Amino acid sequence: MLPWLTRRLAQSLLLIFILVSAVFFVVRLAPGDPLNQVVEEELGAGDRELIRQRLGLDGSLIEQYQRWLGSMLQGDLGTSLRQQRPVTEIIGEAMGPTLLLTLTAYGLQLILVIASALIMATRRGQPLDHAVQGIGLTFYSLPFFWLALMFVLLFSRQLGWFPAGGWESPDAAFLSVGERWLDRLHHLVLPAMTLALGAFMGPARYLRAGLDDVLAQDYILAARARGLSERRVLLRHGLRNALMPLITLLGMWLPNLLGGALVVEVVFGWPGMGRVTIEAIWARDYPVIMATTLLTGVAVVVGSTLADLLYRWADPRVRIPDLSESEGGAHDAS
Amino acid sequence: MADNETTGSLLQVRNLCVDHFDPHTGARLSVLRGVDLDFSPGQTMSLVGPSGCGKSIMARALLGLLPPGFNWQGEIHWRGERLTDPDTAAWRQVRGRGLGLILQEPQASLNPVLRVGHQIAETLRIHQGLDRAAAWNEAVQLLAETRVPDPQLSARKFPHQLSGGMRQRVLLAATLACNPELLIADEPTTALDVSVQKDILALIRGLCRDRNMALLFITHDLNLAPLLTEQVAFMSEGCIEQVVPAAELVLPALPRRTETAPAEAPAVLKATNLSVVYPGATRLAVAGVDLELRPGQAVGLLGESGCGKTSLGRALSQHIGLQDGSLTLAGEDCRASRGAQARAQRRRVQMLFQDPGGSLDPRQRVGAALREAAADQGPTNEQLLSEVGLDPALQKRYPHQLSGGQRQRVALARCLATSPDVLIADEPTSALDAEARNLVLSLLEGIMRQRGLALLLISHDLEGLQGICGQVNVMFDGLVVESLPVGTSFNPLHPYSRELVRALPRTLREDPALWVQETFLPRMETPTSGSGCPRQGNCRLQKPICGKELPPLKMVSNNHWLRCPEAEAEEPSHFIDT
Ligand code: SF4
Repeated sequence: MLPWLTRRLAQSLLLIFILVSAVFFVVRLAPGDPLNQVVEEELGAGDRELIRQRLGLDGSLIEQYQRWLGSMLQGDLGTSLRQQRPVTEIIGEAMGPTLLLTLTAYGLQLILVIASALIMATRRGQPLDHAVQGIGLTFYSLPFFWLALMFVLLFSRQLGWFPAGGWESPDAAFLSVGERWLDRLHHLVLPAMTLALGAFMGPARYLRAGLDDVLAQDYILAARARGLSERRVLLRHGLRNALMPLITLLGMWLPNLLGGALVVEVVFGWPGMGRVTIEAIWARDYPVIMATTLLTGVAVVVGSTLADLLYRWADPRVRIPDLSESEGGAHDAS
Repeated sequence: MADNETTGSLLQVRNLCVDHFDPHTGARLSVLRGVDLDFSPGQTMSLVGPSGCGKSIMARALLGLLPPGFNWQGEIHWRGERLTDPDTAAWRQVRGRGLGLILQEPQASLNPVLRVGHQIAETLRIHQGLDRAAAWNEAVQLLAETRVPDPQLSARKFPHQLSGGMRQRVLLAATLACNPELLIADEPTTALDVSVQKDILALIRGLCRDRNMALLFITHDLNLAPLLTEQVAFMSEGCIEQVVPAAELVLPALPRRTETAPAEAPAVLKATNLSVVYPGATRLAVAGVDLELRPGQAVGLLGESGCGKTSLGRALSQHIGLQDGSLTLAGEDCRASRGAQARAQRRRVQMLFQDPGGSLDPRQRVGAALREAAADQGPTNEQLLSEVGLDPALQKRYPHQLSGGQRQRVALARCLATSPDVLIADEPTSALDAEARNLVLSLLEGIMRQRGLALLLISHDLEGLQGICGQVNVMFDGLVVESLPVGTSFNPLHPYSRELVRALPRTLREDPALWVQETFLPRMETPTSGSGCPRQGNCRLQKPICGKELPPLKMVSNNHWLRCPEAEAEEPSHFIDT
């Protein structure tokens, strides 16, 4: 177990390193000069050069790479070119809203996934199955931005139930702590719903296929033959086994948690990681781009490692070695 | 509903019809056509028939658990009460307390992620209203009743930690948790080794007697029917054709070898001291086996799962590497050859597997599969298919459109496409029903003679081997423990071979006293260790010397080799004589 984990983490570190290095060169080789974003066009060549040095954008690409690598290894992610603030500060601010939004959305999504998969698997071919599939697939096939805009139009413009954007009201600073959180929740509804409704059908169909598989197994027949109630057969024997493959999928969700749901954050003006990333890319704000890339890489690794650990824990066939290992001849292989 | 006719009856089925909507053809297929069946308490009946005749569907219909797409009509009465809707509590009560079901694949019939004790206790809690602790204790009790060793510990295990026989005992315990009055056993031992089969059958028999439980025993193997039940019902194409008392049952004759083997020809495939070890394993899967295969002759390899017989087959066909020993094909050293030469050698040794479904590509038509394998000037598809007794028109079919027996014959035709010298058949019949099995066996024999093929038949089915092979090697734990001629009679000396023979249904029927002897402890639970004879600890003739060193394979009479000094001294007694 431990050697497995060590090997896996070492591999992942190498992968992250390759990823960020690749991104380093790609963004810098892409056309466009970040300097244009921070200084006036008409500035003299000498002054431009000075500022370039101050921002660490002078010298050859390799020299820049070495400098960047050096400071990154010391834990210094640099200063944003555009905002002239430490990158860690910018990311720290964006992290909270993003986690709030994506965790809520994924919680909702998980509920939708399980509920709709259960309906589809048990009501196969019946009106309820068709209804769930119809609604789910419609949402699934619409682009997020379009869905977001429709929700804004309907629930914000037309009905006026929820605010159209931002993550708190302009007067939030004057509210008490409790009221401030209520206000945030109010803002949260539309973006979280967009994310959850727009994406749940994919994993739901995956889970339904898994449930179909599991429900056709002999142990389900045997459980039913023992007179267990359908509900128990479905939840304890069926769902438990069918959820196993979904664990891997859950691991892949984690990077999204940090990367933020880019489009949705932009449409709703949600001050999260997605928006930070997009703005950094527009402005060629190299240090911020590098930091978000790094974070995504780490999240991918942590997510899939956690998923594997969870899988090992949840599936006794992986957790506890099986008999066949002790089988074999009575003779030592020598 | 309880009129005079039905009182005292347990189960009464009248005119049960089941049909199935086939989404491919859009047609309704009739599965059961008017079955009548009566069970009184304690009554035992076998239901025998070829695969696809509707046996299993009948079991599921009685339980009200037909697969989706199946419809039923007719009357089912349980204790005089008519059952109508499978989803009602009434029928669920019957499932839980009246009818019990055990199934063929013990590994598939237990939930892989729950401890086996929980699966038994769960049923107890629901049907008998026991609390957690009481249910767990009762579950341990039931495991003891089904003779699972160390029930306390075994209850805490997951299904994959138990051997096949143990899993079947666990499933039986879970079924007994409902305290059923009628046990439906659907091919409960088909996936198990003969020795384990014997113990499971003995267990079911004992439980039925002790609990006065009625038994519906579904099997494709007519040999087993008289062992367990008083009556035998024959089913074919959805109808019960006749019911006979088991005592009057005449078992069909086995296919017999037609002629004796030709005189000594030089061996085409010769293995000396062949050893195989899998990467990471600490023990040899095959531990020094000598074997010679001659053209036109069949050699049998008899053994139970895990004995190394499949590894040996794969090593001989050069699908896995050798740890030690030598292998020559028509005088050429196989271990030394590389590249094109090695590939040519591999084509000359073909392997036929147990599961024809798994060895054929489901998306490839039969014709394409054969063409792909055939040599340039080799036989045509038509020739190949007619050689295995199939209609050449089947070329256009996909594997799933064939029956199990037809698939196995297609797989055989594909082996023949390369015009091999040697055919290694690894349990070619164990997935087939009796009829298809006899057909494949006689086909193998005919082809072997016609083509002068050297055949190695790997099987746990002694009776099948007897029909074809001149010599049988008995394998245990990677070793050949005995090698002896087989013909009309089979008189092994080694204690293990004799246990195997003793577990055969035919032997059991002749001598019911053998039932009472519990055979071996399941091998997995008592792993042998260190040096010496691998049977020590499980052997009736064991002496202290047996643990010291591995006995050599010694010739005791003409063509009869034995790896047990103790048995040598014993008087041979016949077991199978026909
Ligand atoms: S050598 Fe000993 S343990 Fe092995 S089979 Fe013979 S008597 Fe039994």
